[in-house]
Amino acid sequence: MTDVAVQPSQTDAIAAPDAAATPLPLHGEVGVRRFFTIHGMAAVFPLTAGVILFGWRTLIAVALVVAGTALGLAVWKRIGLRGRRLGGASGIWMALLLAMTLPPHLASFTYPNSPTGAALWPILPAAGLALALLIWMFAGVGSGRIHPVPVIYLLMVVFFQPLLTPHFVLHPKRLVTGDVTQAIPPQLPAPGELAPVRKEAWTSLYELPLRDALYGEPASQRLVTFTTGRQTPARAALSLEELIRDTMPPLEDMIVGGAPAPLGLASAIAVIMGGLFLLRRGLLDFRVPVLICVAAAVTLVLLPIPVAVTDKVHWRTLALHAGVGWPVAVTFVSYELMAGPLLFVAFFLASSPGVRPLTRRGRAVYAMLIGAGAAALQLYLDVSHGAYLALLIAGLFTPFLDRVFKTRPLV
Amino acid sequence: MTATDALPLPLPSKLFVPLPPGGAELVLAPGSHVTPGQPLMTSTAGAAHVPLAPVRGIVGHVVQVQLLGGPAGASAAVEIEVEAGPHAPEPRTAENIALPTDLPTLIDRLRSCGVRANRTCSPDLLAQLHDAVRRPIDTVLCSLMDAAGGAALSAVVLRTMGKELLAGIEALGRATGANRLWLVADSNIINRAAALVRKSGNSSRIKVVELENDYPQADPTLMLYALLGRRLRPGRLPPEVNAVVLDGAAAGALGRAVTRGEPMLEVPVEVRDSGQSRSTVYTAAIGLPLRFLLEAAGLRTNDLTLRAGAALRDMRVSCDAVIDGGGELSIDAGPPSPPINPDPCIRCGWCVEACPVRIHPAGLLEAAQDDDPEMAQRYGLHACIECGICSYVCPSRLPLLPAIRELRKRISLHD
Repeated sequence: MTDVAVQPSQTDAIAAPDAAATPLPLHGEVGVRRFFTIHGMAAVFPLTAGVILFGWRTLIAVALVVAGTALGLAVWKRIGLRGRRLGGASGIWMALLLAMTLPPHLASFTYPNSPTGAALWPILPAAGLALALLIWMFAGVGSGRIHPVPVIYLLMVVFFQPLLTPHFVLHPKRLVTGDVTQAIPPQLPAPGELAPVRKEAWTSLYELPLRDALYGEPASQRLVTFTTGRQTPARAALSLEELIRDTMPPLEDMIVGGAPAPLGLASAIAVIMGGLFLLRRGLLDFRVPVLICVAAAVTLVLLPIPVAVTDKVHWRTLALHAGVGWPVAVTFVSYELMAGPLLFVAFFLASSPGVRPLTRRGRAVYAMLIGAGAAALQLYLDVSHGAYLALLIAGLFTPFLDRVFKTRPLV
Repeated sequence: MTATDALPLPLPSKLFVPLPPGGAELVLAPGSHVTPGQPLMTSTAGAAHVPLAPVRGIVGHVVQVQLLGGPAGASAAVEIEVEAGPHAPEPRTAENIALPTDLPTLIDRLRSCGVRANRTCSPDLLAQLHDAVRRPIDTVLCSLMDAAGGAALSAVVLRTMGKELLAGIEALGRATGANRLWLVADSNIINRAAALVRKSGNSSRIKVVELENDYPQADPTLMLYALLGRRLRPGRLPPEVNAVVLDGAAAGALGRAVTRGEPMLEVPVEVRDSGQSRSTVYTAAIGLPLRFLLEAAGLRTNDLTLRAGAALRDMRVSCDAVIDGGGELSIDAGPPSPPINPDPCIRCGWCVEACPVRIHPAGLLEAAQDDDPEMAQRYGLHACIECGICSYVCPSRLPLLPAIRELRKRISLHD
């Protein structure tokens, strides 16, 4: 017997550096559960901001929505073929998203100036149960083109709209531990007048508070009243510039935090950080949020809005109306982008699997549809709901975009 | 330990020399004695090579064996003569070897020396040359990029038969009339390749080209597109786009055949041990059962999942497969794969984003489930290089690659 047939021509030690391409396992590390777990990790950023700004009620609100969804999924999982397709991780992720769209005061029995005397907290688990039902109806993630979270949110708007308007934020001296519903509501303004607004930034409040929380009217309400032409000026006229200068809360409150908002949308920075985390982990196509924001900004300056309200409404396009000026236009666009859920939709909802198109070009068109649609709906319908509605509408175009923008094979 | 060291390995009593398809009969009757390099068949059909005895031994019967990275085929058993020892054939001297200057002569030389290659990163060499007779060739690409990424195997090839490799490329260039002779290497061995070309003299027309070997970049379709911008459909031969593509092992064997008339009796084979993240390259005789190679590498064959070529291609072989010489030159030995229970597709689109040839693997899975050939063509079945990246990235663990293979099989049966 000889050794002609097999000779080692390289020792292991020599081979090791060249073996940089160590054989890969046949499947990557990211399975479905991990896929949604990473999404959940991204939600930690806005949720943490929510806990800081709205206190412990944020945690209760999230827990109630998640518990409702988990209970619903446990039931619906047993029903039919659709039930077997339901995934726990994706369901919990959806529940987190839904919780982030709701105001924290819902995690209470009542709150100052509540339009109803009934207990509010059951709305949260009920929303979770409804979400589970909708996920079942859409046969799990990936089957339907409609994102269940905005559908549930908009249904809640139909049934409970006055309850969904956020009014509270904790005082900087009462962060995390404060009760977000412990605030003194202001006196109701005279007809035609706007409620007084705090002009100093939330971060610059140093005096010790009388209560845990501050009451305020969300910027979205002021914007939509003005842009839909429903604003009645208290004096002879109200221009866009005056609206922004005198009646809007500081923009800084929306960027850093400190404005009344749904519990996951309070800080634009936290939402963007969550999105950047998803981007870093390869779960987010950067084109989607970027194009949504760009398309929304462009649409906002192109569509006609009231630039002044006198005895009649003066509609102008910001891009063409020299009288307004670009500083006012840019400030207005910034308010529109940050007063509603547009950034949240751009970073957390629009890139959801199943809803977005598969190809890059399709995604670009889809993102622009959302951006433009959200801008139009924010201007003429509602700042708080426009982006959700735009997402649902754009999702309906996804199958069409997948057909039109097919993948082009290399060869 | 050096490249020429030998290990006291338990050798098989028999080697199984793969015979070219076509049903030709052995020229030697069972029981005949053969010497290394002696032809086992006189003539073979078409572009096939002449099978040669790899060692001194006794010819046995023709049996069916699985080839490494290929289907089962006829092989001639050669019983090794124990006393014989390593016995390479006497190389012919330079005086009686004429360098082939045209393609027919080169093809004849390669066939008679048993030189061939038909693997993922080195398309059928003899068929390419036959094709090149009818088509103009302007480029010869010799790839030093391993099928699985990196360059462990190619580094050994470069070190042990670098001169022959260069001679092989030059010979191909002369015979085909190609004016571009490119040696393609990744950053791991680019310096060594460049040094070798420099040493070979100023007259060398070979240019060393760097290309990142990011799997599956070594695939000819991707390499030709990346370097020349030419679009070669998978399964087609590179002469269709006026190029000849071969890997380092094939070029080295070709160089030995044209310069010394040396037959291809052994090939370098890389064994990658996934469990230990270790890679070792051996020189193995053609016809050697894989089991003996794995035992030489210290691997327990009954606990392993074996895959020929890049692991992601998932071309499973048994340890009874034999080393073909022309087929894959790397084996991935990994732990047994547990059964996978796929989740439903979540339409994440990762398969589409990751696909190097920009097709729609999830759509192909749908086409396979619906048995819809038209949908399959729409989603780019023709362009799939079966690299397995889609199956790798899929978070739902969907059987995308098996579905694509099944679809191709069904369509080819239908045609």
